[in-house]
Amino acid sequence: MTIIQNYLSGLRLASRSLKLTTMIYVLNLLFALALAIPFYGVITNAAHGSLQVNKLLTNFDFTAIQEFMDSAKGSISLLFKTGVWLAILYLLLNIFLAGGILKTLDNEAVFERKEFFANGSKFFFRFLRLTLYFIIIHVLVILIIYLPLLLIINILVKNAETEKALFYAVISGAGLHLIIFIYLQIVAHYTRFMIITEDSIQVLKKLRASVIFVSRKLLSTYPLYLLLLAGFVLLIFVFKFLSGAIGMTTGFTIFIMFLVQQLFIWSRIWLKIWIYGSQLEYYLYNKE
Amino acid sequence: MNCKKIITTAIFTCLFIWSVSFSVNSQALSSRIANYNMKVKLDPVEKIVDGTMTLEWRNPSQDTIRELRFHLYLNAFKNNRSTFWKESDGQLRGRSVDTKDPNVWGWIDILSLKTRGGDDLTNAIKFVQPDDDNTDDQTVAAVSLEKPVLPGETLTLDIEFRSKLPKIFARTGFSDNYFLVAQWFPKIGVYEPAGMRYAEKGQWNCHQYHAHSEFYANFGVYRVEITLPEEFVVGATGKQISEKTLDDGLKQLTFLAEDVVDFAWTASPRFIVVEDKWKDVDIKIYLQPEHEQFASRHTESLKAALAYFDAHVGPYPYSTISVIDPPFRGIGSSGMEYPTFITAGSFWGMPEELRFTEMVTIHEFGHNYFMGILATNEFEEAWMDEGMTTYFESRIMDHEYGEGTSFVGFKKFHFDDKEYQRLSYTRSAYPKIAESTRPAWKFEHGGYSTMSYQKPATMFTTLERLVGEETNEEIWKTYFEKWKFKHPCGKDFIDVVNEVVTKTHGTRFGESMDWFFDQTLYGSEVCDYKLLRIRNEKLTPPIGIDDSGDNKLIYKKTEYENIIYKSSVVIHRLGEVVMPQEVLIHFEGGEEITETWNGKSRTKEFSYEKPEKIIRAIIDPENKIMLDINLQNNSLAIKPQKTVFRKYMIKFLFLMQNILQDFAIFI
Repeated sequence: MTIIQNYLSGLRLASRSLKLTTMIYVLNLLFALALAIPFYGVITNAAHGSLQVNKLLTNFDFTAIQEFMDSAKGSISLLFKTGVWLAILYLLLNIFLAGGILKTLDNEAVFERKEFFANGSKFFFRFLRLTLYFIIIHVLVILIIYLPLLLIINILVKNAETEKALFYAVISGAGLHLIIFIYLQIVAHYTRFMIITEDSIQVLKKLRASVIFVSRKLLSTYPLYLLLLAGFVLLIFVFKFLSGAIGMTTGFTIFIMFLVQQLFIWSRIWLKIWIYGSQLEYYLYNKE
Repeated sequence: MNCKKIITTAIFTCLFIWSVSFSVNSQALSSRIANYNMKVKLDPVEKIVDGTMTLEWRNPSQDTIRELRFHLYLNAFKNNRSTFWKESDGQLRGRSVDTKDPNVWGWIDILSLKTRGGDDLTNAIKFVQPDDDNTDDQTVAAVSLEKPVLPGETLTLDIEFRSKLPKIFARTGFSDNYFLVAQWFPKIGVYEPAGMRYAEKGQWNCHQYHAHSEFYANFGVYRVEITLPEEFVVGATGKQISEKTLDDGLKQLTFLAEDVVDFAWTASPRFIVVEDKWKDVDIKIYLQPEHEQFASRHTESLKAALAYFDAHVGPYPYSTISVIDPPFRGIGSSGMEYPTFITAGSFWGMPEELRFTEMVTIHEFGHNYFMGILATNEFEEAWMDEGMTTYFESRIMDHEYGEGTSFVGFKKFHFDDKEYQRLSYTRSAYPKIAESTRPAWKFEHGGYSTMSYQKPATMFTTLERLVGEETNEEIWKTYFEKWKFKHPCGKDFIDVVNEVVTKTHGTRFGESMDWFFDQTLYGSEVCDYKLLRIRNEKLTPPIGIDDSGDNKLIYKKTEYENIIYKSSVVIHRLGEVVMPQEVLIHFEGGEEITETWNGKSRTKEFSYEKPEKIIRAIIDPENKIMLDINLQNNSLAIKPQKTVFRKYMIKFLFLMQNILQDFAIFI
């Protein structure tokens, strides 16, 4: 099976998962609304009926933004603090959902609500452990890349003849991080597939097995993931084009953009399921 | 006299006239009180400049002068006990130095100081500290004369000096083979005769080198001969008049600068020189090779500045202007101004929308008018240099690169120079921290930049909008024409404003504009007017007993036939600064009324009885009072438009949804 075939198999699974996608989308919307509704109250009050904020309807206005932020900063910073907790809660929710999503895909994307939630709770603590391991790994990677990079930058600031070297150092560091980040994402996904398909409770063992699996088949696993990410990049371009073309200057265009934005979020979630589907197909076909 | 003698005399006379014509222009623009003839040699390995100079200094006063004062600015970099170092803590413009590196330090020694009359004054040199009690500071030297200088008399001094350049972290020094040689020679202070600026009696005005100020000097002619290795490209104040190749791989360049207050130069083997011309002015841009793509950004912004100043202030009187682009590690020397010689700044890969290079080029060129030609005292009245320069920088930037986008011009994130200056003042940590007229070294607890650059620039914009563009134009042209090459003080500028405003507007703004400057320049209070409320109440007939007739009757009418509203707008003056205000009031049916108010009382109410309600009101609808620290509270609508809030709520919702999904990337 070629990676193109895996790619298309994922699409097939994702296209059968519209209900699942919509459910996750609704949860995402509800979480975001929990912040957006108070935000609306905050900005309405902070404007104090001023006409200056109307400038922000048709254009960006630095002065209006700055002065508005001054009058709203207390409430907005409180909102953002709440947002952090909400994001952590959302992460936990996603850990819970992951079991259901992957098991559903493993069952050819047949979505049964009861079974979905049962699998969510069954795999929750295993995936929670796995997530914690990966957060630790990501932190270590950041330290391993950026501490030496800071040292290099410090040396370059003192010794480099031009700032070009600094630029290249930062770009190289960030590029290396991106490559490793993607690799770790792939490993994390395949670890979950192993836990799900083998119903394993040995998270660390599966993590090790996943590293071996992904590394041995790096020339397939990595390009497949990049191919899947290309869909996301394309989605961003389409969104940027539409938002540029539509604008948000009247009640009507604001409404249209709201629909476009929601479609973007829905598509993002759907793409994620596509990614899972393709990778899972690859794993099931290539596992030893 | 025989024939041979006559010919020899004639040749020498011709030579003399020719040489004098180099040093003394037939049409001197300034008083030329301090004239320097220097021969210097750069040792690029040791970072040392050895020099000899002849200083001709004329006593401009009616006083008999028994002591001279010199700036020895490089001693500011001698150790961490200097006033400059204490004020800056070894950090300036975000750059700091590694004090363990012995090369970072800089100093200047006068090796010999003699009068032409033969008096050796070398041992008479002592350090003085006119600004503080820091006896460790060696940036000002006093020299007692054996023979005093009489009124109008010219004293000629022969001086030998050695300058060790510091490693660049602030303004001057070296970085590898890049040299920015500024404030580098013994420079005589300004003797202010009684009546000049604020001087009640004749006095030396020769301040120490400070973290925030360094400029005030007499005009003069500088003839400087620089010897250095031949691979170096050199730029300097004034015009290069000769170049000679010497033995041992050295060359000798001579520069002549007339009617200037200072002389700075730069040398680096890496410079690429781009030449251009604006009218009769020769433009030279000294670029780092990695910044070659910035050439047009420098030249175009410089030409814009030259043209704008020419049209709105006065003609540029010099024939050259050089812009130096420092290397990355010499960036501490960027954004500096010297006569006909400025340093800008660029970074490889900086996008066009970020107009930092243009802003700095325009700003530093502007100094050539205020520090250079008008030659105000930057130590004591920094607002007259930095504030005026920043004001014109904003005008030129906005004129050239567009209002709303001139400073940062990305499609979705942009602002102009004027609003950047205003917001830097209004949103500063403490906009009342000090008055702008404080001497530059007396902002002990911060606020120098805000009060010397941004607040005065915003004040000038407010003045411009209050008195109108035409009057404002006349103010600046009159000020320049009247005071160029004469070292005006703040009072002289205000006198010009009063003269022009009174001539144009009579007493519309009062007997003078002193009230404006007293509050905004000499005062530290803020301006803030707030539109507190709009009220619309339906007028109803009286209720109760009507005893206007013979009988006591009860009022029966509960409503008038035609609805009338008693409407009002209430304004609060929150700040102490009083400004004349206009208030634009909109009624439901489309009617608009513009009220004027002297802005003095703490509260003000405008009331009407009309069949339409007031729907919105705006204080200062044309944004004339840019000094108002909060423009948001200047307007009020009884039914604010909700669309904008919906737009931002939806944007926020989308942002949150994406952040949540991003957060879930670990799953």
